[in-house]
Amino acid sequence: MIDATAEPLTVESEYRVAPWVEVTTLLLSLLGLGLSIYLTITHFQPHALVCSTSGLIDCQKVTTSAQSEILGIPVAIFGLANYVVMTALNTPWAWRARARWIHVARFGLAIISMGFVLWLIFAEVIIIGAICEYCTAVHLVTFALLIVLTRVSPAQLGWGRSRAS
Amino acid sequence: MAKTSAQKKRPNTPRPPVKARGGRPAGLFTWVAVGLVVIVVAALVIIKVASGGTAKSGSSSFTPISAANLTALTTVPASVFNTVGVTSPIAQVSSPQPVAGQPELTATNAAGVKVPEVVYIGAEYCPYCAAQRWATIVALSRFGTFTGLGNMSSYSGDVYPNTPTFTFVKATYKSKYLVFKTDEEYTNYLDAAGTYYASLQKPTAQESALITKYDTPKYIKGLTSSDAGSIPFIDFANKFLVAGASYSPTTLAGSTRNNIAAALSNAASPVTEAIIASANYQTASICSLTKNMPASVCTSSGVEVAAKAMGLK
Repeated sequence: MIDATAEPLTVESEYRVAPWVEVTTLLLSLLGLGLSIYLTITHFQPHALVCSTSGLIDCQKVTTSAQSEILGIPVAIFGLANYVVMTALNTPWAWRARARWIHVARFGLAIISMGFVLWLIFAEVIIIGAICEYCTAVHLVTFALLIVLTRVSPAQLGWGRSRAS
Repeated sequence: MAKTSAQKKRPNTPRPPVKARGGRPAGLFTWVAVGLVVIVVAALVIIKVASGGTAKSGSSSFTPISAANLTALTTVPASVFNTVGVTSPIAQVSSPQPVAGQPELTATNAAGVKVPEVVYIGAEYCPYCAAQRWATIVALSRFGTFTGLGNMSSYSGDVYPNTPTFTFVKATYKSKYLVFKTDEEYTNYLDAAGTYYASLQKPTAQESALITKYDTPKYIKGLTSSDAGSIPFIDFANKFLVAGASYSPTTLAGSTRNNIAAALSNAASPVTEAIIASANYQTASICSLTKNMPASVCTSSGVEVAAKAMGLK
């Protein structure tokens, strides 16, 4: 017997967001994924890098610097892994998922990514003394994703509501 | 039962998208995040500007090689190569050391052809690398074309200070006979802490493996265990090795970059003799890798003299 007073079983996720959020985050993730793939290729094939190599903008100086690896793992690999996961988390299916952890993971990954981006900006500006334009493009995409997700994720997860409401 | 079936149906009116309701406005998190990011980035820029643009003790600016010097380096007259041979009365010049029984190091060139690979590992501060680059550029220019070479001088506070040279840091080399890979590990200035030279290019796993295996007393005669890993290190397809300068940097002391380059067309110049003798040795080594191609280079008298001196002919 089914309890008639139980909460109705619905297919719609309680975490659903506006369509523009799904579209925007997916497009940004795909853009970040493309840039990350390019930067990963050029880490291993530096001569494939098409970029200014003089003055402040110097991709090769950045992508071949000592800071381009952490514990022997290329930073580009971290970026690629981040955007593979981020793209998966920003598909319409993931956005409509009913599992809360998916939405928490998406927001958490965006925050962690932005923190990592700030470290990379520190490395470029202070340590290396050069900026990579493709890296900067990835940083801007990450920042844009953070802006969109901070706009919707706290409310989606119920963090933007007061206990009284 | 009717209730049960109704419960499994998708509602006709979907739930509205999530919006912040009550409590903190939804935009608050965004403003906090944007504010934090902007503050951090602004702080980094201010620190950079306040420190005078660089905290390093030297200059990091890249200056391309002049057209005149590039021409002088890459179009040394055949008569100079042949006149000098391996004769260098002023400076002692050593040849690359042959290595036996090692697998040939190869790579695929731009045309997709598997060719011998030459690997250079050095640093911009290093005066021995400074001397070596002159001869290596001259030798390799007989098999292909360099672009992206830059002017460089060894560290002012080291032995043989400010030895004029070039840097491979942005150089590319194209040849149908071989692939040339380079790694300039450090700049010619100290890092912010002033404890060592600022890092420049990290060796690849392959480069690290080569220097660990071959830049040792086992493969380099005269190298002590404490000198293992010394630079410049050049691996000619695992068949010939160079560890350390082929001639002393003191040979270049007192000369400017332009003067050295200009003198490369003068076979009587002692500096030219040292550079060209080393270049002929390196050319002979490469010729043994390329099966004596191109013939115009590999059968020239200067190269044949070098090959004979190395026991290759």
